[in-house]
Amino acid sequence: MTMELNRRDFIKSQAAMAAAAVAGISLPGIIEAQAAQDDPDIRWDKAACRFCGTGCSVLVGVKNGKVVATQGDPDAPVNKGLNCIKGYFLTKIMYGADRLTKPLLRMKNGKFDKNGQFQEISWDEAFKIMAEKFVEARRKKGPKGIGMFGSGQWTIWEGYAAQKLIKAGFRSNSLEPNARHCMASAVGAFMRAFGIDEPAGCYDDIEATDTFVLWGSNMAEMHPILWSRVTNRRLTHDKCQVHVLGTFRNRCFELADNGIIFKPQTDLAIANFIANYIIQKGTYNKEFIEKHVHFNVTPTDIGYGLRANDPREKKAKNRAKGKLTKITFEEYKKHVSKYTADYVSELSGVPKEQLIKLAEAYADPNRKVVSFWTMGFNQHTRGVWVNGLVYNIHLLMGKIAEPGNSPFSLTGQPSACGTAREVGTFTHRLPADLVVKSDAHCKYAEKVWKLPPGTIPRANGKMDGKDQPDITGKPLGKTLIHAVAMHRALHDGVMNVFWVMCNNNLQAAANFNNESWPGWRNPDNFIIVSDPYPTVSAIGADLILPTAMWTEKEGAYGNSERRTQFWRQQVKAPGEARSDLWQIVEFSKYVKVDDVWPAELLEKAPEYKGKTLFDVLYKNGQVDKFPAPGKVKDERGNEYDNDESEYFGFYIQKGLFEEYRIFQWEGPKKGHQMAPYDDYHKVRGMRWPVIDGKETLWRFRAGYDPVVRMYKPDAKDGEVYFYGKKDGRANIICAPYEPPAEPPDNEYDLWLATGRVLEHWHSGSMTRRVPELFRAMPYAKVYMNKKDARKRRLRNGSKVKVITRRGEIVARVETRGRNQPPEGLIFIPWFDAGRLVNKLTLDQTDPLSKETDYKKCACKVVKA
Amino acid sequence: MSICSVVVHSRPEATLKVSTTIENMPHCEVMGAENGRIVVVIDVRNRAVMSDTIMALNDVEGVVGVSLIYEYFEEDDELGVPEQAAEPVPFADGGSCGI
Repeated sequence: MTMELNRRDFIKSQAAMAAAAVAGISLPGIIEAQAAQDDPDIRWDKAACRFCGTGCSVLVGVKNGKVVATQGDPDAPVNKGLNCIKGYFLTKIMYGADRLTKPLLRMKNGKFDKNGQFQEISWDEAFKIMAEKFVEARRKKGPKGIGMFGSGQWTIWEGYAAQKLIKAGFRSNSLEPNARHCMASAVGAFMRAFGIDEPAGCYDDIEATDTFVLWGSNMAEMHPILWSRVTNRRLTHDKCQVHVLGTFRNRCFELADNGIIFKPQTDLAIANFIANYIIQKGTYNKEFIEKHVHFNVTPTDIGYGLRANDPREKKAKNRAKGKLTKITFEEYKKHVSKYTADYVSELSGVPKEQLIKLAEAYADPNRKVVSFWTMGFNQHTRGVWVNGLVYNIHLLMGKIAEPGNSPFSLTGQPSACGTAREVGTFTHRLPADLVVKSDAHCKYAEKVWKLPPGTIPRANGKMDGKDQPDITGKPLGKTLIHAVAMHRALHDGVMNVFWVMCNNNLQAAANFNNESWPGWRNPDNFIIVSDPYPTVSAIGADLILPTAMWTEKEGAYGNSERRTQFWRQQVKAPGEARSDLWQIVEFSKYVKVDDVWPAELLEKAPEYKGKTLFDVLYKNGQVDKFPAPGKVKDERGNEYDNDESEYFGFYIQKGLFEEYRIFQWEGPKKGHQMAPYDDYHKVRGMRWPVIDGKETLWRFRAGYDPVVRMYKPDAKDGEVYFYGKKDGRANIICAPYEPPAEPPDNEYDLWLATGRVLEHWHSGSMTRRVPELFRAMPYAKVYMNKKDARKRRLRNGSKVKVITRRGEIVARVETRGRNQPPEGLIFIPWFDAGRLVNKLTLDQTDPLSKETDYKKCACKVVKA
Repeated sequence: MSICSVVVHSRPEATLKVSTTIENMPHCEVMGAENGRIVVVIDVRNRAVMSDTIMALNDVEGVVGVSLIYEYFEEDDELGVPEQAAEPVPFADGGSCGI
């Protein structure tokens, strides 16, 4: 036997043993014996998966500085040793052939030129031109003259460092995450119903429930590991039912006991029907609603978040209004009484029996229910409303905050919760649920950050009722600007500098042809994109910064169930690629406080005069408190690099995290507490609030959640208290069905819905570089009903043009695929950079959450 | 060298039938099978064939699900040129992103 064969057998036995352990079966003794030897060449360590919001843990095997092996982490409570196909090929994302390794600037004749070719420059040159552009735009155009577009894939400290840089350093609220496109409606509904973000329950609800209801969520493809847990529950618990709702048939319908196809937008009516059914039947939980709930109504006819001159916006009576008015239960009952089975069946196209079967599952007091939803609900022009309508149902029944009863919003990104939402990298937010609308919250943040009062721009530009001064010489004015408005501002030349980091917004944002693309290429604008790969966004930029990714740095993510997970740096990034954290913090050395703060503010902190943003924000005695660890060691004696700490000379990740923890433990909004930094390196994550080293599985119920007694010391075990609201009561919010913005008509006669597929993660910038995944799903197809195809003389595989009022793309028809739309609707995934589906989509948003609705616009399909 | 392991789930009564089918598939080795759970190791140098093989397991009659567990990949010079990433550039696939 050769060495190669020996090693091969050895690895095969390792692979077999890992699988056998997960499956719970025994293998022949010889294989076990072989596998029992440790491979001395491979160093194993845990890491959170780079992809979706499930938050699986994987074991990463490194040999000679390169990741060579992965294994589903058997000790991880989330995935219990399993991986999905994306997770399985995870480590390949770092080794795509076209990794970027040098900063690249568009140049002509040795100088920056918007129409020049990309040429390699040094980091020093890159930061110099960035600083020049940032300072110029900030001084000329005010706080909205610059913008940063970050990510729910940022590690926690990257988001936190960016928050400080933009809000405190540049004194601008033009910071948004791509999570605006995916989670904003969920956040809006959490805040309105409970006054605090993120779900009350956790994944343990899956094994404790009798019923799953999927509202606009294709978990089978987007959260496969959670789906395997749902499947297991369905197959092993006799009473278990699965209800699946969608506007087209997807893989989840295979498991459904009640598969419901409804007409787009009528989910609003279906949810109201369920509430009406429960009230008519009289099975609602009277005691619960008397003690724990307020009834409210929200303004209607609120528009579609389009530009103000759009006729649909001019017509709207209460454009973007959301102020709640208290009503009685009787008034609420009257509001929902019009949603009868007959009316809703007619409107939604769903047979009455199916509606009643679904309503009955919720209405049965002896049946536990988990509701799951993702983009079908969030990417919705009434996203906040429809999220809230499901809370209404759970609150009416009291089916919340206990094992198996759980309205659960799933996230699409690995740290949409941990970074975007918890750190608050949105225009209107600050860490730990604080908001820039509140003068008191801003003052608290300024105190923690050791900055003079008035540094952070208030939403309305006023502190203590007086205008905040600006470097422009004018008052700050109104400062909020959300993601879609940023592209409009670039288009209009209001914003001149835009830094896109850790996402692919040019591919992701709606209405590419009329908003994003002209905005990016506007000659007045300077666009910076930080990415590991030449994505659509990178190629559309003026300056590209090469980025270290995933386990090329020490990191932390927070998943859908409030679980915070850490990993150590496993390998070095290629060439001059540097992490987002390094880029943000190093760039801050190139800007002086005096360049961006007005004299009045500097007067209040004269010691900061002449200092750089780095000195003020990161070398503040807190962030730089912990010495650089040198090599990071684990409990088994293995050693790891930490390139950022080595470079800056202090343990920067730890310093940022510990400063962030001050907000959680001492801030005005309790309930977000996390454990000390070092604790997380030892565990497979913990779900916040973490009090006395213990995680919290179910919130708002005494006995499960220790925070309850911080607000209500005499609460008895099992007592519910929604402490996010002042009086401990959650809101049931009445909201009606309202029609969508752009329904099909005679010319544009089909609905277009966009979304994702199993093999690719979001825009495909990583997964399309993994040969196995590329091969499994190379291009986006047009999923279409056979009858619709026949009417247009098309067949499976026909090349077609899909046309909307905004643009067209060419792709092939699929009538037999895994997604089967009903007549009148087509589905196209958005991962394919060669077929940009966002040339077709409308930049309509939920007027309350400002999140885009990618699921509903009118199109036509013709032979190409 | 490219090796992976998967757990194939089937209905318990179909375990033997499914494992026999998989045993006869190219590149697949059944290492153990019990009560609807089948441990399969796939050993094939060509990564494209690897992904096709994994996908093909989903289509075996009686299979309820396929979970991936362990993966090892190493480029080794003795075996010649390593598999190249398939069309890594987003615009190299015949489509045009128009920019």
